[in-house]
Amino acid sequence: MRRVDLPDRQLLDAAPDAMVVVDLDGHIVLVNKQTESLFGYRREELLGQVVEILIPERFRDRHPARREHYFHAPQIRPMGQGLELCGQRKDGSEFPVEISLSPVQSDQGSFVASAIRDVSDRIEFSERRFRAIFEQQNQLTGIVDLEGIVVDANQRSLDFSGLERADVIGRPFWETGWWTHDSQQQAQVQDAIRRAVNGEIVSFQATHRCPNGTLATVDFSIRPVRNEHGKIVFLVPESYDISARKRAEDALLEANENLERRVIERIADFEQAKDEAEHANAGKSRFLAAASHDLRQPLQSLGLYLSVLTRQLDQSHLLSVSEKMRKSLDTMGELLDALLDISKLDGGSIIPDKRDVRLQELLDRIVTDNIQQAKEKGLRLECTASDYVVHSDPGLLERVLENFVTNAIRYTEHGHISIECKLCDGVAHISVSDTGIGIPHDDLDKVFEEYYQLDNQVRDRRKGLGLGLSIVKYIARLLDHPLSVTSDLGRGSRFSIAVPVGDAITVAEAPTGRPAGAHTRDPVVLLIDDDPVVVDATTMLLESIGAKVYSALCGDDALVHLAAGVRPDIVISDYRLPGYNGVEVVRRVRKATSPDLPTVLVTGDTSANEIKAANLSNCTILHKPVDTDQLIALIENVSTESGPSAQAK
Amino acid sequence: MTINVAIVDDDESILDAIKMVLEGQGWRVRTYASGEAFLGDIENHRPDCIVLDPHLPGLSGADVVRTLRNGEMRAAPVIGLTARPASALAVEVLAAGARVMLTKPVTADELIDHLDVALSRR
Repeated sequence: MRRVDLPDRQLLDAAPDAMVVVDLDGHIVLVNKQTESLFGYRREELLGQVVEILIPERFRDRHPARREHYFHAPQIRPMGQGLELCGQRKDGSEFPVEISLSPVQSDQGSFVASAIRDVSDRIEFSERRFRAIFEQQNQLTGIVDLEGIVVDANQRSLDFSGLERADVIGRPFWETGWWTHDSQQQAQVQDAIRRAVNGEIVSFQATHRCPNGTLATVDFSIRPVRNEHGKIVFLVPESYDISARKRAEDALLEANENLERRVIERIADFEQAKDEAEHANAGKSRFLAAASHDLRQPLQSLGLYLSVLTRQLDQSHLLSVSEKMRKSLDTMGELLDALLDISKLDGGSIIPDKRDVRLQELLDRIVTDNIQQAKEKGLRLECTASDYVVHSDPGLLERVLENFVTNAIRYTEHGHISIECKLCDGVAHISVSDTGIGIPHDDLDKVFEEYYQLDNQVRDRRKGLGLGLSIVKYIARLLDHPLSVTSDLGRGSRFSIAVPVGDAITVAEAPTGRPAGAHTRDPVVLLIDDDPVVVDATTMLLESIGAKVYSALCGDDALVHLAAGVRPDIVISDYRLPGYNGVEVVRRVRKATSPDLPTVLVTGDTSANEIKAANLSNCTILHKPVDTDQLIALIENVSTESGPSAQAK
Repeated sequence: MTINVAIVDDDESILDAIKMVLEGQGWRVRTYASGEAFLGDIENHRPDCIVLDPHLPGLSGADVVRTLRNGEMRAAPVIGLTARPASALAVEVLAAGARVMLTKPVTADELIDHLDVALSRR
């Protein structure tokens, strides 16, 4: 410690700052003129007083301890680092000061000299700058001391909750009007202050009450602010109003939920519409079938009346009229057949039986069937030889190609019709082209529509039925074989169907058609149905075509036949049976005979999908009422294709 | 000897048309709009051959054929004539003993041919 004498008063008065010298007990022993003017006391009023007289009352209690602490290790230093120091004038008003302390040793003992400078101007400038930032903040902000007492709050934060400064300054932050509406949040704030004092930045979503009574959602945070030595000196709470964002988010969420709900509702609507459409379509198919049956009645009478009439005609011109009437009736009959075909194709009662087919055999049959009609019109019917094996249902594919060819003959007056097959990417494009009247370009995509031809002015309405190509369309869809058509008006058309290529090896082992001279013998049929009337009727029907029928009323009875040595060429079973169903019966019968035993399953409308799902090979599904012609065709087919079977009886 | 043919169908125009065709052959024809009417008249008019629609009001075609088979007329051939050959009723008529099931429309010649064959096999 330096040893200096107490400075002369005149010298002190010359100093720019207020100078106050105190003894070890804190009593003022010397003040200069600036002290008098700064604090508003006369010198006599200060001398002998403790120095705390110059400090705001709220700091006075703690000051003596600090003072003594300084005396124990005195050095020249600024006082109250990091703290805003205040002086208090005689009139009680406070003002910001900067104080620098120096120990002074003299003959009279140890003293401390304080140089006190009024920094109001400087503080005011930085305060203004701070205020400008503080108040401009879009968010609500303030200052809280380390005890959690609100020291300051910006105007926005007060306005936000309709508070006055006096409502919040000097009060614990969590007890202010921002939080009192929610005790849980109050506890949360108290905890956040505790954590912030320990250096943590704490944030959470909270609510503040607005003057209109509503709650606003805010992003709240409280952060510690440190002085240049890293010491936490106060806390800054901030709230950012996210009500609008929250509302937008909620609205978006709700919109999403709404959308989701609407999508689900819409899907349900679609499904209902689809069900209705399917129902309507099934109804349409039933109607078509019924209409085609019922229309046969008057057609039948008309035909018979006409024949009676024709027999009594002897004038040739009247005979030609009756001949035209006959042709019209034939056309009507064909139309009814086509309607019935469409109703069957559309109603799902035809299930394609795809296999590997030698295309040439199929094309040969088509040429044979049509060559005569072509010749009669003076047309050449050409077919380029094809080695391809295609994978399709031979019967249905033949109907498509047959239709292409008969149409071509119908609409061609001169020239030729040619059938070709070209391979491209594993797909055989089978096409029938003609040199006929062609189709206008705009109508090309309509030719496969039902009744297209009837609306078409170019084509002759007397020719064809307008349903042939729509049958083709249904078949192609059923087979999943794409169709295409190109045409040059007045020069001709080309209709094509794209069929996947099959396996030549498989086809060699499984002849597709009925080869000439194939062995034919009486087929052995295993018939299972729980209705004795149906069993009787079917047995009589099948016996009428020479079949040997073994009947059973349930699956177990059928197995009894097998145990007795019966080896059927084909099994015909109802699907609904007592005990186990038709699919299971067939599986057991096949186990005892052959895994590919030709099978006919008969079903009502409802179980067709269950049978399809069972995925039985070499199995034809017939719907009730059974088409007897189809059933007979199946039996005859089996008897031609299969070899002789061993039979015990 | 005159051939007697019975036609059973609920469609009046069919009855009338077939009657005209067959009478043109010189045959004697009786028409009935129901199975009951036919069976009720069978003693008066013993047909050599019957043309029958399986779909009838009241007694079904199969009922008619079975009744016929159990009575004195068991030998008279029955020819089915239907617009719905795939129906259960048509199959039932076949099973009950009809000679053949023709699908409407048939021509007059086809019908006469079938009747000729049936009558020759009596």
